[in-house]
Amino acid sequence: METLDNHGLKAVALGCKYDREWIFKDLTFFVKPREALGIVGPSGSGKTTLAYCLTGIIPKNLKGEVTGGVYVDGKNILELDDKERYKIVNVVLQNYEVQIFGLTVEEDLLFVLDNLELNEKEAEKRLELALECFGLKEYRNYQVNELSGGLRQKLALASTLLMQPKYLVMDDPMANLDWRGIVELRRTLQMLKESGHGLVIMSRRLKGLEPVIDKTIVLGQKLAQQGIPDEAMDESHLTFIKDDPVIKFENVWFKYAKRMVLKGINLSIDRGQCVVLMGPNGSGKTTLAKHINGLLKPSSGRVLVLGKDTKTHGPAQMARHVGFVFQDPDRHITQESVWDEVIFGAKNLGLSYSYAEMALEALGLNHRKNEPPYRLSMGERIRLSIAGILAMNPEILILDEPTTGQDEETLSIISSMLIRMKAEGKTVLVITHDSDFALKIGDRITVIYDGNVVADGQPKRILFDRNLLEEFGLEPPSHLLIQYAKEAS
Amino acid sequence: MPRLDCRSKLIFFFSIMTLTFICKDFWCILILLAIAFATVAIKGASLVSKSLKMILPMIIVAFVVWSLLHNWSLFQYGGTGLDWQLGSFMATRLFTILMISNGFLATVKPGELMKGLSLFGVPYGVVFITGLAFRHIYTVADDYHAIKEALSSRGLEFDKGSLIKRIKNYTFVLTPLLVKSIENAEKLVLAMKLKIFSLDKKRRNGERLGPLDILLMTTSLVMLSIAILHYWVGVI
Repeated sequence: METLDNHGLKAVALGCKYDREWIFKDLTFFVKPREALGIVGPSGSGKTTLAYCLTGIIPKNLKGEVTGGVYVDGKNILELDDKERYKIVNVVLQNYEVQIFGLTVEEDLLFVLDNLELNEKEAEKRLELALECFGLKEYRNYQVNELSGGLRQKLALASTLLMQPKYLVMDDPMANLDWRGIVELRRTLQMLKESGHGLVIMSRRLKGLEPVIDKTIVLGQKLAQQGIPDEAMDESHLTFIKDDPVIKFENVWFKYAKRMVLKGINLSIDRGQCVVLMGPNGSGKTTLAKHINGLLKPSSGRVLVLGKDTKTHGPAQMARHVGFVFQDPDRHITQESVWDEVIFGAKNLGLSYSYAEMALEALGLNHRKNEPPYRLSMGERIRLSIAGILAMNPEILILDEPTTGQDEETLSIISSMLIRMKAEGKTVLVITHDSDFALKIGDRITVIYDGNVVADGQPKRILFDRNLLEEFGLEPPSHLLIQYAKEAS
Repeated sequence: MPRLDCRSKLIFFFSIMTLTFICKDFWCILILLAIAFATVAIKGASLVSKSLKMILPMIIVAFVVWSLLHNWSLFQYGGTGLDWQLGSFMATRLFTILMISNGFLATVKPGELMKGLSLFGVPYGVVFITGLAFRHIYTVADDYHAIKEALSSRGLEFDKGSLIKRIKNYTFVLTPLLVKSIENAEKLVLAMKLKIFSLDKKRRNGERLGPLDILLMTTSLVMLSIAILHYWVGVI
């Protein structure tokens, strides 16, 4: 066993419970300066609670019963006052939006420096260093709302690091990143390790960060299956009903805020196909999908869905045919019980509730139908949002990033449901960065890059083409990463 | 205008807005309107035409109302009568006020407004909360759009049916919006603690004012003083 001396962030028999329910218990681990510890677990496994315990937020600022202890460089973290504690160990929260206080990049960084009450010379030095290290120099005077999601995340990280905490806990830093973002995050973590920081990185999976992670512990349920199921490698199952395409994009251009987001898209999707849309953040995947249910109208060209021109049909009308499952389930829960939430769409469309019963059953929520939706776990809420769409029995189903923050149980339920829908002749469109999931469920992968379809074909052909992966910043499948690692060694 | 210091911009806009309310001469209002046009035009001709499209219908209504119903109020009927001169003056004044507001929004960024207020000695707590509100307007707006999109994708009509039905449908947006906002507010408080925020931190000093800033501030304040002395005190 490694010895710790007094240097390091150490959890000893750490446990935490809310309302008599244990979130986790008896966790013992440590991380030293220049070391990165990965903590892997699905949503609801207690990663955020653990991050709060490691920084003393629980029980000092938030309620929760903590057993065991957390020690930083030999001192019990609870014996330090807030100011001292957060200067030694700090956390980058998952929701980076709420950690940005300034209206511009510079103002946000100055906010932290002002709180530290540094003299102007030292503050200026730290500001310049942060802008330089995080590549934010050219965005210095940008309004925060003008920045991309990736840059905002970087800003949240940079402003936390201005406090120069010796140990940094990051709660799901990869949640909204594409592959290039993950590679950049890996470089940043490497830089932080080299400059002496001890890191704790919490995530559903650590794919892409393996080279910088020194050790890993697993929270909650069993680990994600790293690799591709055998059936995905066998393309003989890729059969679908071939007739007139159910979705047809004809030279579709779309302009938003002076920027051309879609540039002449031509795409046909057949009935019973499961098409996976891949591409880096901001490439136009969600914009393209929103044209299918009439949420967005093309600036030129047309989109035909089941023969209907979506220019003349609104999203509420298209809802009879197209179901759209959005990313954040909390953004569409409006009802007081699970059952009312599931039938909400069917009720609006005047449909019977027969499919609602089936959807609840298929997604394992039948036993909770009378409970308030906000009492469900995140995984269950995601399933609830899918059930609400399935209750409308749409012919086309669109899922936007269904794997983000998922637990394995939910992922496997979603995969089986998609396979069953395909078998019933329904058409499925999935937007994801997760190449292993794409291989598992997709019949075809369409790569969107800068508003264009740059590759389209069978999953294996697309995801095992190294040049293509590199050129368009796609996440390599786990099989390929293992191969890369073998070649490197 | 973009290179000017936030303090001179604030004084300039405060002065011309106050002047618009004080001045009672048509020609003075026209000069102020020309200045307001110039501030909007700095950001491009497209903004001028966009502003005009938005403002003109209001100006026409104001002109008709002031010209025809100038003897009326909410509580009394004052007979009939036409006053085209008053209608033109009041419509031009409204036009100027709206153009100045557009010019202000186009040339003063929220960050500059906060910095300016802070440098003018407004308490840090007030400036911080106002800045935070500006910052999170975008988050709330994003949430609002996303919720509306999700609900319309589940068959909820926002632009069809009777007014009562539409209002009722909009109430469905409120629950998730409220939940998200409370969630964000809780996280925001936590993030403030993590960044050891305190309201009694020191205030930063502003940069030195340039000659153009001093010229603009002086001119604005002199014009404002003359107008006050002329219209209110009656000495000039």
